[in-house]
Amino acid sequence: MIRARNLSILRGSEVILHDFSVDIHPGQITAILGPNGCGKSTLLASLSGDLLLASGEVMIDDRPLSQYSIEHLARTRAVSLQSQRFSLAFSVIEVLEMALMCSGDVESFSQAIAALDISPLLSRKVTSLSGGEQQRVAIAMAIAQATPYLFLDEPFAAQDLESTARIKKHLRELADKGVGVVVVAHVEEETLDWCDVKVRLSPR
Amino acid sequence: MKKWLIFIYIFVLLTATAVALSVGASHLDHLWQVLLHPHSTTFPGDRNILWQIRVPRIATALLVGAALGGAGVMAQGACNNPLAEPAIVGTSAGAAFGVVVGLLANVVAIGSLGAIMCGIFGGLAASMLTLHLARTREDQASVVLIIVGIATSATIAAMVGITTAMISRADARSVSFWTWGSLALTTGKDLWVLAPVVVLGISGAWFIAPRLDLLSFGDSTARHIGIDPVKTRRIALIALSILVAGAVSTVGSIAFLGLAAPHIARLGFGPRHRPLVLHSAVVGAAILLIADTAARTVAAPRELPIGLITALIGAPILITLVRRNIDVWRVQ
Repeated sequence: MIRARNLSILRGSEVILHDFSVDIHPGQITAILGPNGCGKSTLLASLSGDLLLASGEVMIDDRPLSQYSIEHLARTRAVSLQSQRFSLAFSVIEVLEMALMCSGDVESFSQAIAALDISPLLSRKVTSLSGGEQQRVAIAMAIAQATPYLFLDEPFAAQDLESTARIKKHLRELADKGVGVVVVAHVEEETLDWCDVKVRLSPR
Repeated sequence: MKKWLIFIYIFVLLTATAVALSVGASHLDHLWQVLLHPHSTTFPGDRNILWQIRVPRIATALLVGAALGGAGVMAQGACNNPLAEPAIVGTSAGAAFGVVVGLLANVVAIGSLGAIMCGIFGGLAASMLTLHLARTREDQASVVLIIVGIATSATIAAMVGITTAMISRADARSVSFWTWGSLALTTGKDLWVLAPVVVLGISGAWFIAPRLDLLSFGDSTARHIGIDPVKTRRIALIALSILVAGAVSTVGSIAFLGLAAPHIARLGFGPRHRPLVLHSAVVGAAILLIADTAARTVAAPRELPIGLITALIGAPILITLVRRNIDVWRVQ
């Protein structure tokens, strides 16, 4: 379980998040919801270990986040960013294999390719993909890491209905296997039946 | 991808070496005899010109070209920026300043290992300063890095000029040497220092190259998949500084080659950094040897500044290749 306790995050002198606490449970999909600019991505970054906290503490499986090495963290949580940039013209399969070589397992890798419908893209250059396709590659990289926790920032933002449904179905399968999934979503969707826990951040 | 291209590069390299051996300010009547029998004393004049002037100079051109080709890959990879090169991120100017300060302090002699050590420290300090000054809230921003790098390089180059003017020693080299570079003053003795330094730098580049592939996804994503971007960048900058210091302390600053060679190699072989280090070194060696052969023969017995020739050869090749294959590096 991930316990975030009394998180406060500053950017310069601006308070992004104040005294915020949340628990992330294995086997559940936690949605972080709220309007633009309310600090959802910042919260995700602090759970990922990308940010210095002004105060508060994040514990992953009863161990402070600050005690994790970069390598250990990569075996504990995987992250897909809201917009993943690819600057070099690697092929999609090269990118996925490089990510797989760092951490992950082959089974999760092939499941991720199937679930995200990436097979038709494998031989294309990542730089030639559309934004939605690049994001699917980034999500596949994260899923291929096969970590106990999976953080996705706006995974549906650039997807059509069909791939949104497919991604949600795969996230549910992962949660059923015990993965703690965290999804940041900026719109209040009419149906939130794909998630188990809703965390709402109020506008600042 | 295009595996046969490496054979073309090696063919160009061998042809360039053959041409470089056979042309020069003085014509050698017995080139092949003295080349194949280096210890024979039948033609002492030809033998001395070939083995004491031409061969060391060609070897220096090949080594420096390979060093700058590899250095360009490290600069672009570490900064994740297609415009980064040793002359822009401050490494060349910093290395020159390090060597000049070492000379001024009377600690080292030019062409010595000590001078290269001074160059490594100077180059590393200057490139880390550039990256530090260019750091914004997000990842390294492309445009900021280039602007800060040009400004840092210009500042340090000015300091090199002022310092050089203060040294009245004959071996301190001129301002034009540090700015444009020249192979005219190289001797066979330099090679024994330069060669191991280049091998060390290329080995460092080869070692860190796979992690630069992952750094191209951005610092955050690299960290998420288990790569330390700070450590990776530091190792790449050390390899960069070793290669640049070896080149700069031997032949001065040669701009443009470090920018062109990686792009030319990347268009042929793709963006993977590990093969790119070797391919870019081969391309750099070939371009610098051709440029130096032209520099010493076109207006013989006068020498043209080598930096002018590298720009003249490299720039059109680069423009042609990049225009035909624009998708190879996307700048956000």
